[in-house]
Amino acid sequence: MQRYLTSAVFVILVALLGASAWLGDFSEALSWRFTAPLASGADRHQKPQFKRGFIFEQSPTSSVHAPSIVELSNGGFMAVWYGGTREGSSDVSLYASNLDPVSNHWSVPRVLMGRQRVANDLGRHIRKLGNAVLLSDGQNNVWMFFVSTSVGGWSTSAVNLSVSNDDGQTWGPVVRVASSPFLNVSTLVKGHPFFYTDGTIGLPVYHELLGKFGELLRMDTNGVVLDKQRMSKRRAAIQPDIALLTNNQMHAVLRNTGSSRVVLQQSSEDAGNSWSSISETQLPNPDAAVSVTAVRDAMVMAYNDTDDDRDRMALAMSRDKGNTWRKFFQLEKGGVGEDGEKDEFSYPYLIRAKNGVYHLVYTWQRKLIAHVSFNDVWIGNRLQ
Amino acid sequence: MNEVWQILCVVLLLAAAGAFLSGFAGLRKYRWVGMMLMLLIAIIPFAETSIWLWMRGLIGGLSILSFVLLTGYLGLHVTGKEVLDRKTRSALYATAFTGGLLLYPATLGLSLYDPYRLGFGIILAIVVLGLSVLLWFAKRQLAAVVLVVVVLADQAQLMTSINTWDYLIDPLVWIIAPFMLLRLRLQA
Repeated sequence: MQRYLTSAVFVILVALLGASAWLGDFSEALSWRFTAPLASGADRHQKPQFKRGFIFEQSPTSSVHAPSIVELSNGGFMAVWYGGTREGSSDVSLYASNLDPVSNHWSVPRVLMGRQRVANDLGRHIRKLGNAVLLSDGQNNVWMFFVSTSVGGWSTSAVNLSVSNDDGQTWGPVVRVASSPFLNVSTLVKGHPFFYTDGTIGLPVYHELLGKFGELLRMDTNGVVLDKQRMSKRRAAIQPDIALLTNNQMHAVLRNTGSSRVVLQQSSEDAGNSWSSISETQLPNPDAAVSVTAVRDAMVMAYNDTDDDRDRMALAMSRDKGNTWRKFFQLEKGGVGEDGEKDEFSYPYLIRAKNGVYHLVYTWQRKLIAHVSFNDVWIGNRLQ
Repeated sequence: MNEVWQILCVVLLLAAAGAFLSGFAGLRKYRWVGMMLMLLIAIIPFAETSIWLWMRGLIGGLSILSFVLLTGYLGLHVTGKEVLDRKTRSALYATAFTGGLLLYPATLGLSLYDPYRLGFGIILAIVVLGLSVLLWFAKRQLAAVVLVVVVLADQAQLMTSINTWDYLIDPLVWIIAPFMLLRLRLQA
């Protein structure tokens, strides 16, 4: 009798726990909707604008790489990149510089986050730091997602988050984003984060351990992952960057790690909850990062327009959701530098600001961070 | 909570490694010393790090199944008494092995569908609770209770993750599971 009673109590407890979990799950149902960026600034009466330069003339480190940029609440911009003796060395830190909206000058680069600071905050060994991307809510809050490894190479990376509540001047404690069941390793960032309408964050990431594929993380503002969607399988494509189109549609472009040597792309009709299979664009890709942004349903992409090296950089546009891409400007032509080394222009990161001006940053010879800005009228003139 | 859990997991893992190495060296009587020695060695700093920090960097936190099985292993060697009986261990290792087989190959990119996503919703938690009821009526009551604890820990958000898979299994227990199942079978 007692045995039956114990079993009955156990089953009732399990049922109650299940019901509680069920109710909790419903209360946290995610809405797969986002607001497409405004098309402000897309005014034909504007003057064409194109400007290129560097964030700094003298780098504080001998090697710099993987810049990203974000528009801040004051109308200025902040760029972040990693720099050190060389990629992956223990002295690599994350550096930042601000573009003043009034003077239009970049500030002197400053260390944003060092390896030791990350190790102290996380209470664990940190071997090296890598790619960082930024997200601003336009109200002084900036989220920085960045890669670190504790053991092994980049394929064992994890994503970390630090939040600033003063437009990037000071940064809160680093937390680790729990994104993978495999000891939480092999999640890396490169593409733009964005907000969903319910205030959660979408972060395109990629996996590099054995398989190579893109993923979309959905997380709350504290970095707790609420959902994750696989974008492809096996060893096809990494470093997804996502353009937000109208009507809840998304378009991703990806670095091709396979043999076909062209930029890959895929789309989502439901804000990233499901993805089409990967297709090939007509644009070449030398197994290098690409970046895309959109206004209405037109997309602009920065990419290496060669299939064998990273010594050329160009801009292309698609007005038919990726069916066709047209190159409209050659940014870097490539060749051999003064030191006899082949040129390297890589890791573009392209955004479109609220005033309609595009800002592109990329690694320039691993020595400088290039900054290029242009507007829709300039693009229109190039396409004529 | 997450921080405490991670520290506890690393302490447990280091102590278990110390106990295992002592036994392996034929010093079964001195397992206590081996455990303590391992913990002491772990906190000695070298080259800007330590085994302790390195382990924390490597594993973060363990799953509930790993934690319970490690506790059982240590309990046996500290008290000399079997904390987890053979049936319970067998059920837990079988759960870990089967779960890992369903999860890890797909997670590493073998399929387009990622079963890890199931752990963010209610489905996996319900499956785990269903399995716990089955184990209960299969007279593996302790294993059934452990699975209920898995869901409880998930609901209480013991770790940073809210994914049930992270509370159920981790790669360490998955890798060890087939060997332990074989050993249990051979001992039977």
